[in-house]
Amino acid sequence: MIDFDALHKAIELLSSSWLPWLVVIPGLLIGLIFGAIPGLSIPVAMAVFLPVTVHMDFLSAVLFLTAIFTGGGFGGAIPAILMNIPGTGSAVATAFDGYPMSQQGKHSLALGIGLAASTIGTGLGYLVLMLFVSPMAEAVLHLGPFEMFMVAMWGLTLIAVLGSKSLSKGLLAGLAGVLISTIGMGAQGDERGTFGSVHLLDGIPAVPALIGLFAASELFRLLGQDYIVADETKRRISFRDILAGAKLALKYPMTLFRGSVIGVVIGTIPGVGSSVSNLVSYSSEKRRAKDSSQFGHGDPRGVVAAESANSSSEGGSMATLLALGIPGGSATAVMLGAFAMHNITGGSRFMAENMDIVYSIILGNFAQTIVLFVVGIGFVFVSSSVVRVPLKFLVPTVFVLAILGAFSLTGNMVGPITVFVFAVIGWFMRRFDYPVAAMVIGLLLGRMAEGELLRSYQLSGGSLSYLLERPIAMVILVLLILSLVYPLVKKIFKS
Amino acid sequence: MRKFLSKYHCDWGHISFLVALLFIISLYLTDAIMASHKAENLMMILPVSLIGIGICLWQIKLSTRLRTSPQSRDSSEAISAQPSAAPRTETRLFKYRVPIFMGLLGLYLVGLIYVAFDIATFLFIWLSLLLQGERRKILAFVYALLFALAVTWCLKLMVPFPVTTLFF
Repeated sequence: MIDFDALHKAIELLSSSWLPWLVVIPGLLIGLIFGAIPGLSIPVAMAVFLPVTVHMDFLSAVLFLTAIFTGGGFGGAIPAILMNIPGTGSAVATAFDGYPMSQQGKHSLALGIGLAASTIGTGLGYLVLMLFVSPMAEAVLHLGPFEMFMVAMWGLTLIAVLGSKSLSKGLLAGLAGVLISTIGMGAQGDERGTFGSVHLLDGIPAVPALIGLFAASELFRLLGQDYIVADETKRRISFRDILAGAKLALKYPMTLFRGSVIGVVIGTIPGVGSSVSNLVSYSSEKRRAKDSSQFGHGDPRGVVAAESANSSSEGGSMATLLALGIPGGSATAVMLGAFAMHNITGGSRFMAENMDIVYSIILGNFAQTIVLFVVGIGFVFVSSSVVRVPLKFLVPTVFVLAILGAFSLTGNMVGPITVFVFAVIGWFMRRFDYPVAAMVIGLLLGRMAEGELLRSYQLSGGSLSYLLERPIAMVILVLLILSLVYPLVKKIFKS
Repeated sequence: MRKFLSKYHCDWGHISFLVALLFIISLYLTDAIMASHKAENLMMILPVSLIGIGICLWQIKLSTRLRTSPQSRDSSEAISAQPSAAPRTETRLFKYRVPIFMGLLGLYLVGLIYVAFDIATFLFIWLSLLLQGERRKILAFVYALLFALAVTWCLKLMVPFPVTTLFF
């Protein structure tokens, strides 16, 4: 599994010069800042700083970009915990328990838990990558469109566990999200729901919609209040609590492990990644828990499960990038750009000829996780002072950052308008008790599910026997049904 | 002794929301069918829309169900629970703060399109602060101005596409 000669060369390569290490801290800080501001995302940060990497050697360039990736992976959790606004799509599940903890005055603790889980998750992700990089990449090649469709369906079933009081309301929100995601030019070239507008041909941009939905449900609600944490005595920022939170995360080793494995496995699947893995991990942990009633009300296990999964997805997505040359998402697509700028093409040939560089990247990322913990503590300490800012200043400020962030994503006014429209929709949904997170899942997975279903239909020629020839898809289907039925059976037996 | 009354309880706000949703889903489905009747086009949209319409109708039914409610001291309690200490104008402003803020946000977008990013951002932050009752008017003005200039400058540096500004 491990090529020890290449590993030895990698250690020599990393220890021969301090130049590759010089870019790690700036990269982590850039990632943390871009991840923490709603609207600015990790791919945006990597794209903005991509030209800088021209002047670096290949290893430094990749370490710099992966540092942004790692920092951003945790950065998105900060506004999710402090304001219930996930900075990135991968921090949606972090908000479920992180924000209630903040409201209880445990913001420092929650951020500490998130940071430790994120650090350990990233480390475990890269460890798995080091051990199984080649077999993992080969396994991905066996996933056809129907398997991908089943993965998307698996993600969509999570709507059922989002803690909505009414399952039908959760389903309706999720289905509405799926329908919204299909707006625009279909795979066959048909225009659906554009009503003649050229701006809608590419569909609704998911990240601005996500920000609008979450920002609305929270920022509009916060309008009448003075501070995020109502009790003045609980507004203090405690370095000790951040460390206590980090220590608390270690009390759930199996949650960390399961979350990391889920993250790596889902991270390898192109197009799915961390935005699904955090939800899958959260729901898996909630299902397993003997006492799941605390989930959604500030249970530390929820934060651990979500953060370990979304961070370890980075390792998974790097596996497909390095071994197959396939970017799993926008962030790895930008990284592929860095590969191209240095005349390097990822894939089996690159792996065979440059295993020492592959190991250098992996080892460099191990070191990054340790640096992330140190830099992250300082960043968390500064950023958690947001609970002491009066909301009358915070609300318009965050709205402006979200609107301008959306502008930077789309490059035109479609992004800001999307934020506004979904802000209004989100406010109404919250007013009538519809879970906005369900709509977000529908939005993130709907288009992918439709595309994969269409490809399966075309490959099978409409024959159902094709489904029986796909054992992996059948296994996922059985697991999906079991995961839905198991809680019901458990409930019946208990009663 | 309490008297019990049986009556239809309608949550009109929720029903309006559901009717709007029902209308939008139906409109979208019609548009998709008109775009193409092929299975490739409708294999996802048709079943999802039909289930969505079904749930909407179910929710409307739930929102208009027959409820038995006790007629007791509720009316007098409801009256006494009304906030009466605050001045009327402030209460109204507080009550309609969300729609007012939504309107302001809409105007901000109009400002971004037709005026300039820095000016629109400054006005949005400044008016938001005043709307939320910030009494330190100079602080509100200075904060809005500095933040608007800083954030627009950063945006202009960061993005490769045109950002309309007045000051730089």
